[in-house]
Amino acid sequence: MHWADSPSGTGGLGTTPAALEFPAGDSAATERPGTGTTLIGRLERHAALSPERPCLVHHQGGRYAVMTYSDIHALAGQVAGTLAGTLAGAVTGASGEAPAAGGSSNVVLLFLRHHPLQLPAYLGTMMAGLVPSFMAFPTPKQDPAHYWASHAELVARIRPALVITYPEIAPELEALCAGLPTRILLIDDLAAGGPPAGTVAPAPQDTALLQHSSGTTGLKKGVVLTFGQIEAQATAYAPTIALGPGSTVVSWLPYYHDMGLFTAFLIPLTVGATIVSMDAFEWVARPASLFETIERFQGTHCWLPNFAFQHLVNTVPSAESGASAYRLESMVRFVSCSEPVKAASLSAFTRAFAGFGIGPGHMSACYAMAETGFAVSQSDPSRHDPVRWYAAEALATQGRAVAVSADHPGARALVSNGAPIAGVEVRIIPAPEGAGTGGPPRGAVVGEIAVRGRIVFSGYDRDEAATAKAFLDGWYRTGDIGFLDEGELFVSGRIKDVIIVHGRNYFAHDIEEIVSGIAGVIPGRAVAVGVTNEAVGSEDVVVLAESRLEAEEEARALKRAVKRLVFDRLELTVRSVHLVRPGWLTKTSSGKISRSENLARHRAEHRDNRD
Amino acid sequence: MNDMRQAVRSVIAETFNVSPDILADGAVADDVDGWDSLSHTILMIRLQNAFGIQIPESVAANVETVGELVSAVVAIAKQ
Repeated sequence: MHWADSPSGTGGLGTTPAALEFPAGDSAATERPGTGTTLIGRLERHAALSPERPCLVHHQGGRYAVMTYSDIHALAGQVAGTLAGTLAGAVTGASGEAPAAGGSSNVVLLFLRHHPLQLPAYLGTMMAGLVPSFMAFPTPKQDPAHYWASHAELVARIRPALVITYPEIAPELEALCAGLPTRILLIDDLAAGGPPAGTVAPAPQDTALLQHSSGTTGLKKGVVLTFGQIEAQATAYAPTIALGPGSTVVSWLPYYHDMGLFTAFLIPLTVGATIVSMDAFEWVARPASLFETIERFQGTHCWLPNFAFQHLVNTVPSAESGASAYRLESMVRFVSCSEPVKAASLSAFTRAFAGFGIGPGHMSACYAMAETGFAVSQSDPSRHDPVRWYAAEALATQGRAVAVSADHPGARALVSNGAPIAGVEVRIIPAPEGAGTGGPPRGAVVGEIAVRGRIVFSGYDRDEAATAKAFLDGWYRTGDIGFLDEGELFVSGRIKDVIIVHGRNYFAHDIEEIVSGIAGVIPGRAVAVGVTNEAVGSEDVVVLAESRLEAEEEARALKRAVKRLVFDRLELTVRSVHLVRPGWLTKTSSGKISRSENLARHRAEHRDNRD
Repeated sequence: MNDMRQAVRSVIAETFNVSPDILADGAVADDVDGWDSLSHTILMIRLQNAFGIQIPESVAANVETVGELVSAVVAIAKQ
């Protein structure tokens, strides 16, 4: 591997990828079951036909290393050989099946920071016939004890065959896996040598990966996806954003998140594009590094959650300010995804960075989830302005999406997520008490978004109850509220008690359970509420908790403790904690504590309080 | 020196829209609503612009209290 310094220098990677045959559209549908191409087949093909094409540019600490398709294929093969040699018959249970007594499953958990071998390790795991899953790793500011305690249940349930990690956290993982048939391997030892041996050629129906969805770690659900589902997702989605072998994806998204996994790894690898992978922590500390990297490597595609567009606006001076200018004309698409897409954030981004070559034609939105691999739908900025206005009242109370003009009183701007991609059908399930009330029906029906099709997962790992609950007559219920207007999908709310902060999902009841267990909080008497923060372009979490503590110092210490423990357990910073007297939180007639009603009450009583 | 410390405190207070009174030397990020990793980056940029300094990432990532941050900015500005 050759390392070079960045970001000085201009121009792209120095090689112009040759055109490679790429199926435009729905090729997998015409292939006979069991004979289709898989991600590993794609990798082998790219390595054979375009061995010198850059596959991965690993960017870290101001330096970068370029690995070609041939390099990545060889490294993955070496990893597969190492894994096969390490295990040698120790694996007994396939994903989705209970491991044999005392044995392990075939799952490999990868607890990895940004590392040049993280993607070859994942691919090598697949080539060894094992099922990889990237896991979030402990950040320096988290309390390690709380972090690891929260993973014990998940690891015990999965019984992974292997854990791949880095030296600093290996002792904790050894302790976590004590008593399990799990081996711990260090990432730097994976490709230390040895011929590529023991690799298997997966078939489309084989389980490819495990992706963990939201929820506190012990209760996280593992989304099982097959190679056929990855292939269907990639081949259906890539044409909608003009992604092909000449494309270069620039990303700082972590790989344990479905958006990072698919858009900065599996999809570009399928089509033979180049991936420029940055460290998320470096981007947060220096947001302009994204633009430097796009310019340096002539990036064409970049996926970001809504908050990131706003964070760039808030931190990178525009060209007009006289500060550094970046040349971003190589960009084809910015895609906003993973949290509610705000029209104001997208327009602020194009206004701020028009001088760098960014315009509305670059901006698009995507509706995606781990349960479909990634995209359900994607907007096309060449068709029309993605922003439309709807009567807020009809959306909220009548279950109808009634289009109005932008200057209509009570107009709510929503961003189109575009038409569903090939391989997925979208259906709207009307709310029983919502649709059709309040006058003659007009406008599109608003309800829960449900999806089905060959990109949709078939179930959660080792959790039949959760799987049964997730599907209705073969349709996966997303828990999001939305509607279809002229064939395009709009998301207007959600049923599930999920708070989306910086693109990551958190269940309100998970936060409440953590808060309820803290000394000083009356058990069971806390609510966590998501509040839109326009300036940040995301949601904030506000906690209301009943407590008998009255002294100022004690109250301050308790608020600190709440923020501290929620961060240690979930890596989530609570915006504000409000302590209320015992009995203050009110319940609904069905006995539940209403989150939004209690927040509204608190705000009414503290009008000077911004939260 | 005290003026400088007060000026740093004012930038922090404006960034988080809070009264400087709550920014005691011993206050930590958890005492200030909205102080997370993203707003911390915005604060560092504002401090750099306000005082014409460069705050090394090692300093930005490791300050624990308001007092430590104020002292670090004052020390860098004096160099």
